[in-house]
Parts: sequence; structure tokens; C-alpha cells
Amino acid sequence: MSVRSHSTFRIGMFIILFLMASASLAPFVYLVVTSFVTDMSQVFKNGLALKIKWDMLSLESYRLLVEDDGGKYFNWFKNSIIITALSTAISIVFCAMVGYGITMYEFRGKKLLFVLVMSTMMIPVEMLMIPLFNIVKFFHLTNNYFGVILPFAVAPFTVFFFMQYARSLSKEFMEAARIDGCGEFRIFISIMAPLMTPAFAAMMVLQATNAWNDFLWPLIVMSSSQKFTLTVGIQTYLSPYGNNYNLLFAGAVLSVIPVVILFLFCQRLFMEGFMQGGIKG
Amino acid sequence: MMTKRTAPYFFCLPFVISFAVFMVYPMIDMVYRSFYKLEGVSTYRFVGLDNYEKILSDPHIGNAVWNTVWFTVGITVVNLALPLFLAIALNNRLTPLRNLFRSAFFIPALTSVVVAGIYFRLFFAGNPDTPLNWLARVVGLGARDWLNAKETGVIALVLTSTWRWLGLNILYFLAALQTIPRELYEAAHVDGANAVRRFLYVTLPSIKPILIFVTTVMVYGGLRMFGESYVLWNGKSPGDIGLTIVLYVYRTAFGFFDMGYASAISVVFFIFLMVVNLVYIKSMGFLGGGRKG
Amino acid sequence: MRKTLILLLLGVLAAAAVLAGCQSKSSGGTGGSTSSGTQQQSPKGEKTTLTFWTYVEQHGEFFRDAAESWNRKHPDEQIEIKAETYPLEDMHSKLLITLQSGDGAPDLVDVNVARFSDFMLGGEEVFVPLNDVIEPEKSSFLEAVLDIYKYNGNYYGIEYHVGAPMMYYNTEILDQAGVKVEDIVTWDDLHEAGKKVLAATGKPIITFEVKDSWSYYIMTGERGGDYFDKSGNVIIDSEENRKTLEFMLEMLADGTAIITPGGWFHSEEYYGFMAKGGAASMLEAMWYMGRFTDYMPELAGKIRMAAPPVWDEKSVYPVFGGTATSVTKQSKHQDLAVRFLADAKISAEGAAKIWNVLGFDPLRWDIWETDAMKQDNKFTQYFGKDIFDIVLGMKDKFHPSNITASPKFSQANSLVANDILFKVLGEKSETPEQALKSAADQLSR
Repeated sequence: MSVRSHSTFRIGMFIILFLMASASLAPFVYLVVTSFVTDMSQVFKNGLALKIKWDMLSLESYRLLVEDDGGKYFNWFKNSIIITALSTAISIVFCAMVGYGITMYEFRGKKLLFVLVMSTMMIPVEMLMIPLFNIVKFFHLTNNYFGVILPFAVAPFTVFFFMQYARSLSKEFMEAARIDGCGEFRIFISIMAPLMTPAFAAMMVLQATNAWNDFLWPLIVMSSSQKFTLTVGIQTYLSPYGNNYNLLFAGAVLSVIPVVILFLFCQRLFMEGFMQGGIKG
Repeated sequence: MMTKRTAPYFFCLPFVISFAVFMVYPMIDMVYRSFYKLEGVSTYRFVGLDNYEKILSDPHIGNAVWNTVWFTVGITVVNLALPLFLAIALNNRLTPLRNLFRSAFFIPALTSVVVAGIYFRLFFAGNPDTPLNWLARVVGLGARDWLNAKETGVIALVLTSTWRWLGLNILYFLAALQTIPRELYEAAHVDGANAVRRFLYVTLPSIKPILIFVTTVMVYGGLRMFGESYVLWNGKSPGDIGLTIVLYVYRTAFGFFDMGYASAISVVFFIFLMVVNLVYIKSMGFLGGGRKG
Repeated sequence: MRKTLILLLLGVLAAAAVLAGCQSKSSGGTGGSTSSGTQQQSPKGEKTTLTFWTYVEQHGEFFRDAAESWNRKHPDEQIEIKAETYPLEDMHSKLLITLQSGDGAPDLVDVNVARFSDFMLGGEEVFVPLNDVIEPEKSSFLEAVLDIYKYNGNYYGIEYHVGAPMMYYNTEILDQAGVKVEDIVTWDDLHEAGKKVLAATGKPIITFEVKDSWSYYIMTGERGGDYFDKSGNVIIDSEENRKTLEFMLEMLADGTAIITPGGWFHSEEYYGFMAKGGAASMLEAMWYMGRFTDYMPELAGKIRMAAPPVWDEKSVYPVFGGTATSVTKQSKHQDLAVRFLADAKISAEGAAKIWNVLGFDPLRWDIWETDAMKQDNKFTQYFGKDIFDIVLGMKDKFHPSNITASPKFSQANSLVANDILFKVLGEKSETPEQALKSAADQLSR
């Protein structure tokens, strides 16, 4: 291509991408700006047609959020962090184990297991809520962090991802280690797992995001509002008898920030995990 | 002690346990429950196949299926074409600020459905002054209440979901695109192929596995749609607009407390999904495949 | 980088596990400092915490206020209310789940009238009978509304209000058309007035909901229409219901009525629409006053309340309450909770507060004519001082609807709110007869 068409291409591409990226980020901008609006009745009467003037802005929403019911928002924050951390850690450890096990070994039942993993990937968990709750109750895990975490710890998609990623590992390497006298589990922990670090990073971000944003299951398991996660808590502000917009917007903005920070922090590794070897099919 | 023979069983144990306890048992429970009717708080009355008969004559099921199917089609098409286009754009060396745009598209994937719902409910509101309605008036479509009609309802669902799922799909495609060796493009260029032909005959075939993967994820995701539907209509859809199958099950179970009927619908839906799944697995030859390389 | 990542992960995991461990030990069950044993009074000076679930924020405040009054009167039996507000659907789901699982239900809970019957069947008693506190005071109450929550001779819940249907007129618009509120007695009068308003201002005189059923239920209830008869038989496809829908279609046809923006009266679009003077009236109940004061302050002084139009001399005013508060059987302080509830809602003082704080028409109508109802509050400031006289004028024509006659009421209500009104009035894809018949079929199965 000539230099001139290079430039036209660049400019054209930039414009298109800029427009689309703006559309992608617009909701956040709107949420953030609106969270500073003092008089929320303006918001819900005009919705997105709201015209913002400087004197309409203040930190009122955030103040209300902090004060609401003795700062229960921060409890929600704490709960979300704990659940997300535990859920992510447990999940990636177990899923990596399973994915690794299925891919790296030949054994009876391997095909069956494979089919099972694929099948469970498409089960909508929303439909299993009632019996799942009964089980959680049976184990006395209601209103408990582990009641929220355990049923979904071994997420089929994560298993599937590790399965695919493990395909890029070499079995010869394992043989060599065995000859050297390494036990199977040691091979996994010391040698193979570190090779899957990008996968860990990728799944960590994904799993953390899912755990952070999950709203239906925590709502069912936790009966006390002090134990809610952020997403559930924010949802309770969406009451049909009068949306509490101040708390809603401020709460939503604050809930997005941690995950975005985590992502930006891990971005490089995350991209690597995805790009390299994730889903070659 | 773990040997080479027994190791896989240990490694796969978490899944097996989890599967048995948190999937198999609930499903059995659900099948069992589908033959009963809940009365009051915890009294179940045996009703045999009543619940299943009800499915056949329930008009809402038809609406839910219509919405779910159209939504699945919409979301799959949009989320194959758009991310692919954007991935190609982002993959091109000439494109400025690639990494920045890539992150910009991905960030919505980090938000929760609730947050998306807050914004998109206002976005699709019937207020004639919203940006969307302004655009609609400009192109001659006329302002409308997007969330109050069947067809536009599905469009709203597709757009809301796309916003959150786009970034991830772009990443998948980007990953796949980066595995295509440049020599292939150069060879095609030498052979006289223009950009379009290069796309059709080099790009597409090379990323076929990823295309299949994304299609799978989208179809599954579409059939399972619940969250966006719930937050856009606050759980109550007039005339079943935006009602998806899973949302209907949820409403039947927790809105009407009709656990038995909800279970029956779930069972039927599961069977359907199973069939789809088995067909898919077989056709992809996954059952035969092991490891590559 | 990899090592750091792994260390980071382990660190977070460890920290989280420690925190979680601390949490799970003190978890399990709701309320905080409950005293040991059941049915006991807490020792002198110690506060008992009662958990309360509701779906209306203001109700929580009401009970907190009531707790303060209680504490003043009963210094040795102090109560602290822990109120939690959830969205309506979610709250009822949680209530069902916790009642089913036998653990986690609150002491006090608001139950929506349309859902109450769902909890009453099956022979298991999940709420505490309130007969002991209701019977002595029964004569001061509008018995019809008490009976809504009476099953097998026991009262299981106590209402907030009568829920008198009420019409709200925007006098500013009416004045422009030369229409006087007093001249509107029947629905036909409203229709005629609507034509005048349309001609003079181009605005509709009323809007009809397509996403909620209550204003329709009032309209059809006036002429005796209902979803079930007293024995629980399906009568949703009755002629009365059909005629009401046909009347609404007439008004929609000539523009004197339009579909409520946003679909129902609790939507943001509607508040915005009315605040800008979009329509000249609306039909709902007394409890809607709070919406005007809270969300449409611009209309203060311009809204006049009046008895709703009727069909003819035989018309009645259907009353069906709205929300009841009950004490769950899982409560460890049933006796205390019941007595507190009585003080908050049944006593004369409590009833007066229901009016002054919540703006509701209390069940206890022996105080309706007292000065308690004429006190200055935000409602009298908005609507004028003689609001309660209007209700008094309607009193004789109150007629309880068959809202608890069938456990399928919530389903019927949902069909009307989500299907019928929308299809008949909105999309116009079905005739009243078709829609009602289809609903009757679904309910009869």
C-alpha cells in the first residue's frame, strides 16, 4: 500500500474504533458523572436525556452511601472481596488440577469425563437453584461464605480452558521428570503448573470477575443483608417502589473500580494467557 | 501414593465430587419434584404428569422460546461478525492505539449485569429525548419505547448483552488471528488476492476452530440468558416481552411458588440442551480427539 | 513475575481464609444479640433485636419509630428493630426459601396482599396467630380488611391501611378546560370532561396502566368485577371485567386517555410525565400520596384528591389493603413481637402514626374523626387539610374484594398486570373477550 492510503487507513480506523470504544465506555462515563448529581429525581425523570449543569453536582450520593444503615455498604465490599478471593483461589487450583488430569493422562473414563465437562458447561445454574439450596442447607452452609463458593467452585468452563491449555504442555517433559524420580503430584506442582501461569492469570481475572458480579446465588444463600455481596446489595436498591438512585449510582461506580484495577494490573499476563494457547480448538 | 496410573483419578476428583453433589443430586431432586405441586410453604402433593401436560398448553412457554431463540440467533450473529471485524482492525499493525482500544472494549466484561441493567434501562427508555431515540428520529425510524414491544425488546437484549460480551470475544479472535503466519498473507498477496479474498481464503479457514468455539459459547450463553432479561424489565415483562426460558422458570418458581411446574419445565429444557450438546460433541469429533502434538 | 504472582495468590488466599474463618464461626442465622431460649423476656436493660423484612423503605422507618415509642413505654423490655428492605420479588422469594428451610426467617415481615395466600396453604402454620391482640379491639376496625388475613378463624397478619381508592386531579389543567372536580361523578362524566380537556389543552384526562393491575382492579371492582368469587371459582372472564376493558378502550380511542408512560404508576417516566403536567388525573389509592410528595414536588398545591368516579348508584368502593405485617413462627421472641406489632399498628397511637408518618388510611377507623387526622404533616401541606374527610365520605360504600379467595390470586394478578392489559389496551392484539377467556383457561387448569 502506498503511504497515502496508509494514512487514510489509520485515520479511518481510528475514527471507527474511537466511536465504538466511546460507545463501549459511555455507560461508565454516564454512571460516574450521574453519581455526582445531587437531586436524583432529575435523573429518573429524564433518564439519559439529562443535561448536567455544574451546580447540580456534589458528593451527596457518596455521603449517603457511606452512611446508609451504619455503613453496610462496606460490609458488602468486605464480603465481596472475601468471597471473590476465596472463590478464585479455590477455583483455579481445582480446575487446573482437573484440566491437567484429563489432558495429560490416558485412563479409563477419560472420554466420559470429557463429555461430562462439556455438558455441564451449558447447564444454566439458575434452574438448579432450589435443590442446590437444599443441599447447602443440609451442609449447614446457609448464610455462609462457603455456601456461596463451593457449589460453583469447579466451574466447567474453567476446567475446559485449563484442559485446552494443557494440550500445549509436553508429555515428554513429564516422562523425564518421572525418570528423575518425581512423584506425579510434584510434577504437577513444581514443573507443569508454573508453565501454565498465563492460564492461571487469565482464569484468575475471569473467575474473580464472575465471583464479584454474581448476584442470584449469593442473594439466595445469604439471608442477612449484612452478608450480602456488593452486587446483591446494589440490586436491593432497585426496588420497584422507588429506586434509590443516589445509593444505586454511587454504589455501582464503587463496585466496578476494584475489578477494573485488578484487570489493569494483570493486563499483560492476562492477555498472554489468552493469546498463547488458550483456545486452539 | 499416586502412581502414573492412579494420578488422573486424584486430579479429577474435585470435579467428580462437585459434579455428583452439586449437579447430579439437584437434577434428580428436580426430576422428582416435577411430579409434585407445592402447596403453601412446604407441602407437596403428587400430581403425576400434570405439570408436563401444562407445558404443552402454556402460551408463555411459546413466547419464552420465541424470545430465547431469536435472542440466541441475534447474539451469535452479532458476536461473530462484530468482534471479528474489530479483532482484525486491532490486529493490523497500522491501527493506532491498539492496546488502548482493546482494553476499552474489554472493560465492560468486568461489570455485573446489574450495573449494565441500570444504564441500559435508561438507554432504552421511551423518553423521546434519549440519545437512542434522537438517533432513531434522525434516521426516520421515529422514537419508540424500546422495552415495550416484542421485536425491539429482543434487540435491546442483544445490544445489552453484546456490550458485556464483546470484549471477551474480541480477545478470542485476536488470539486466533495472531497465530496465522504472515507468510500466508504474503503468499496470497503475491498471487494477486485483494483484501476481501485474503480474508475469505486465508483468515477464515485458519481461525475455523475459534469460530466454532465462539459460536458454541454464544449459543449456549444465548439459550441460558437470564441476567440481562431480569434487569432490563425488573423481573416483570408486559406481554412476555423479553421473557426467556430461564427467566420464566425463575418466575414460576419464585414468583408463583410453583416449584413443581418450574421443575418440569427445567427437566424438558435440560433434555433439549443435552440433545443439542451431544449432537455438537459428536459432530465436532471431540469424542475421537485426544491431545495434539 | 510468576513467583510474585503465586506468592500474591497464596497471600490473598491465606488472608481470606483467616477472615472467612472468623466470619463463619459467628454466622448461621440472622439477628444479632438475641437472648437465649425462646419466648422469654430479656432481662432488665438488655435490648432485644427484632429483625424485620420489608419491600418499602418507609415501612422500616415506621417500625423504627414505633420501637422508640415502645421503648419509652416499656423500659424493661427494650426493642431494637433491624429493618432490611429488599425488592418485592426478592423479599418474597427469600421469605419462602427461609420458611421452607426452617432457618433464617425474620421475626417480623411485610407480606404483599396478593401473595399472602401463597403462604397460607398446605396446613403448615408459618405465621403466628394474632387473635389475642386483635379480638379485643376488633370493633374499632374496618372488619372487612382485617378478614383479608383471616384463615381458619385465625388472623395471621395485620394490614397497614384500608387502601381506600382515590382519584388525584391536577386542578391546574382542569381549570384551563373549565372542568370542576365536583362535576365528575360517574365514569361517563369523566369521559365527557376528558373531551373538554383534550379540546382546551390537548392533554388526556387520565392514563391507563398496562404493566400493573391495581387501578383496573379498582375500576372493575366498583361494578362488582373480580378475578374469583367468594368460593374461589374463576370469574375473571365475567361481563363486568369485559365491560370495564371496553370502556377503557373507548377512552383510549378518542384520546381522552393514553397509556401510562412507563407502563405503570411507579415508573420514573410517569413521575416525569405528570410533573410536567402530562395528564389531568390518575386513579390509585390513598397510599399513593407519598409518591406525589416524594417524587413530584412540583405539583404541590395543584393536586386535589377526590372519591373516584363510579359507574352508577349501585357502585361500591373496593378495598383490598396492600401489605400486612406478620410474625413468623421461626421468631425466638414471638410474644414480644406480637405485642410490639399490636402497639405499632393496632393501638390508637400507632394508627395515628400510620396516617402522619406513612400517609396511609389506618384500619382503625374510630380515630378517623378525631383530631389526630387533622394534624399538620407533609401530606396536608401538599394536598390540603381536609383529605380525611374525603375518605370519611366514602366509608359507607367500602366493599372488600375477594382477594384472598383463591391461592391463584397472584397468578391471576400477574396475568392481568403482564398480559391482559398490555395485549388489550397496549398492543390491541386481543379483544377483551379473548384475553379474559384465555386467562380464565389458564387459571382453571
